[in-house]
Amino acid sequence: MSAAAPDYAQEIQRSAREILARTASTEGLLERLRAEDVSRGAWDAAAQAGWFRLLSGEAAGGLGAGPAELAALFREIGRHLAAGPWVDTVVAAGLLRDHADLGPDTALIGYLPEPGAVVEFAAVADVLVVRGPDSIGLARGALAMPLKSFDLAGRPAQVDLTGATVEAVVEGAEAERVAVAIARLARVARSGELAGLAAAALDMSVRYAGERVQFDRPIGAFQAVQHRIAEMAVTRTAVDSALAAIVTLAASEGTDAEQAALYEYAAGEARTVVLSALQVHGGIGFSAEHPLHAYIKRVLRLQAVAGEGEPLLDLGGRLLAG
Amino acid sequence: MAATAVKPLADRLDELRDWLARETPRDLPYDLDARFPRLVEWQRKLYDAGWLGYGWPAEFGGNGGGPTDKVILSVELARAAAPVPAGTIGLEVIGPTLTRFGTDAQRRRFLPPMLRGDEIWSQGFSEPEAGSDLASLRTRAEKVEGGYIVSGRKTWTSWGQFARWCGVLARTDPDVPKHKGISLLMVDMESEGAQTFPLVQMTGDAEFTETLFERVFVPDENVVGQPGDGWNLALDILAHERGPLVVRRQVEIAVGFEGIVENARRLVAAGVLADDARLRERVGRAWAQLRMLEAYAAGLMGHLVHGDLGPEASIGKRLVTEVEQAVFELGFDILGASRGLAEDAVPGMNADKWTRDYLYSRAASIYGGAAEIQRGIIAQRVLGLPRA
Ligand SMILES: Cc1cc2nc3c(=O)[nH]c(=O)nc-3n(C[C@H](O)[C@H](O)[C@H](O)COP(=O)(O)OP(=O)(O)OC[C@H]3O[C@@H](n4cnc5c(N)ncnc54)[C@H](O)[C@@H]3O)c2cc1C
Repeated sequence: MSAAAPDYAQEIQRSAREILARTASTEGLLERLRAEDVSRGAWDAAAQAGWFRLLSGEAAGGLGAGPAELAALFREIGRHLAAGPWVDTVVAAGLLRDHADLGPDTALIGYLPEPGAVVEFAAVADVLVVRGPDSIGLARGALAMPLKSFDLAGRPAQVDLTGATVEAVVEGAEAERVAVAIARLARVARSGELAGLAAAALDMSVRYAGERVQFDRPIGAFQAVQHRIAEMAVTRTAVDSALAAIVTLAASEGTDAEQAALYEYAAGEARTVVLSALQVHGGIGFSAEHPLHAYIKRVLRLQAVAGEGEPLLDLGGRLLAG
Repeated sequence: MAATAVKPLADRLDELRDWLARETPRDLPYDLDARFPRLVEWQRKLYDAGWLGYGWPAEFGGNGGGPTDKVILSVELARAAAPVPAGTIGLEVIGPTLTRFGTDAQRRRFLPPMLRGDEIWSQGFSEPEAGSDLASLRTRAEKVEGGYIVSGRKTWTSWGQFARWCGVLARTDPDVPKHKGISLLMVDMESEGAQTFPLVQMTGDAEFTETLFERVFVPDENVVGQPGDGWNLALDILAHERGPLVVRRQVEIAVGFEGIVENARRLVAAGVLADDARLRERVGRAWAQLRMLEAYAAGLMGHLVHGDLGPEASIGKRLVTEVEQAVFELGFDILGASRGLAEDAVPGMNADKWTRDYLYSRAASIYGGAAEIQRGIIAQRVLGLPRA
């Protein structure tokens, strides 16, 4: 899939971290998320840095990167809780730019994988890409109805295609191939985001446990708290390692069921980490004025997105069937 | 004798796999006393065929090769469901320490017979009163002319009854802070005053011993490193054994999981296990945990090339323990009404083996530093939380 050198992923990570620290700082996170649907500063910087052509082929002016680079990028997006239709724009649009003109790099893209699916940021998207029975196309005149959500970093909407026209840009077997690639790479991206969120929650907890004083000492000096945070580090490592496995599977054929199962597993582990972070933070973590709940709710939403079917259960059934 | 200047093991994987497929003993008796001599034979065979010397210095009986060669071999053994060689504690714990910290004379004396399996080693660290708090150990080594007189009691010494040599942590200086007065001594278990008493584990096997030292003389040349280095050597040993352990154990657990899924099919077919959502979910989850661990181990291999993992190794130890315990718990639970039986109600279900494996998995959060101790290391030394 990618001929990129292994340290290309590290380079992407470094540059993403630098760009996001500047444009989507976690200082004032809640104000940022309340003030704008899409973290605009980060979005424009991302367009400039070529993130939206990360997966595009060289003919489309892309970087031709693969799943490892994608994972590295989304880890940072998760860590900074940058809001925007990142997955659909980087993955779906990134792959489709090889086939169609989707407008300027700064365009916000939504991708509807099947009728009735919830699409993040569909209501503000410049372009809506739709997977039809035998094609992938661009929809005009679709109606996006925003759904209220607890998640501060996503803007889910339901899409009504009645009365919309869809102009196919890829058809037949090629459409199928692209749709499969989108699904796999979207899972890589979301897993990366989960890993970044878990890492951020761990860091916040370590910091808070060193600062918060009760019974005349930092709470991080209490063994019960230390052990909880140590297990968070272990579970965070499990999320990272599951991400690595998901990246590997993205490049091999016929492994969708396995990849989906690993995503469900990773999301469950990430959830454990952010909920432990809540326990470490006590009452302040439960207060809306503290940013932790934004991380928790994002993880819960990302876990829900994997909720199509029950991948772990299905995979277990396959293994038992032999 | 092992050949020298051979190709890297990574380039001979096909050859190794073929060899293992042919030569792996499949009929080992379960009884430990009958089994042990066969494991010694097995080690000798591995050595003579030139496999076991990988990763060991050529001038001391090895084949040379890189730091990951040993891990590759142990992974291939696990993958082939081959038994671990009899001298595994020497190979995984004491040998690497001698390679790094021993004198040339010590390496020349001890490494070749250790590799061949002619001399088996054990690790005498824990004592009845010093487990997690190892540094409070009481075994004394008094300085005398030409050596030390060792007196004390060690316990839970794995394979102690078969060992010719024991790597013993003993207090050589009672007058300095407790971490500073400890030394690592190589004790000849054929010496006057050294004795072992097998201890039966909850699995029913007598896999470890009480190890008693009554005024045992140990010559100066059998001290590893400097007197007083014992604590640092022990930490180094524990940190170094964790990485390779994770990589090998991960494969062993995966092989165990395949056996569990196969057994589940057998039990479903026999009508004693329901192929329901609960079972499927657990099987799927165990599979995902193993894939996660496999990816973790692949990353670890990169670090092992550079040697030390440091306190991060405790994260790996926690991960592998969690997965091991989940997988073997599944292997046990599917036995249903036969859980805990040592005989089979359904032919081939192997209730005895799966019960033992389950029980043994529970030791994983005790040996090599209990889970709570690992958590303390992660919290304080990886994450930098304040000491209590
Ligand atoms: C199968 C097996 C093989 C072994 N093989 C060997 C061997 O070959 N050589 C050898 O030297 N030893 C061996 N051991 C011993 C092993 O290293 C010790 O059992 C281990 O270090 C724990 O010590 P302990 O059993 O004394 O438990 P303890 O230290 O008494 O601990 C009991 C419980 O208290 C907890 N605890 C202790 N201190 C703290 C603390 N500060 N904070 C929180 N919790 C704490 C522990 O985590 C544990 O849950 C083996 C043990 C087993 C089970």
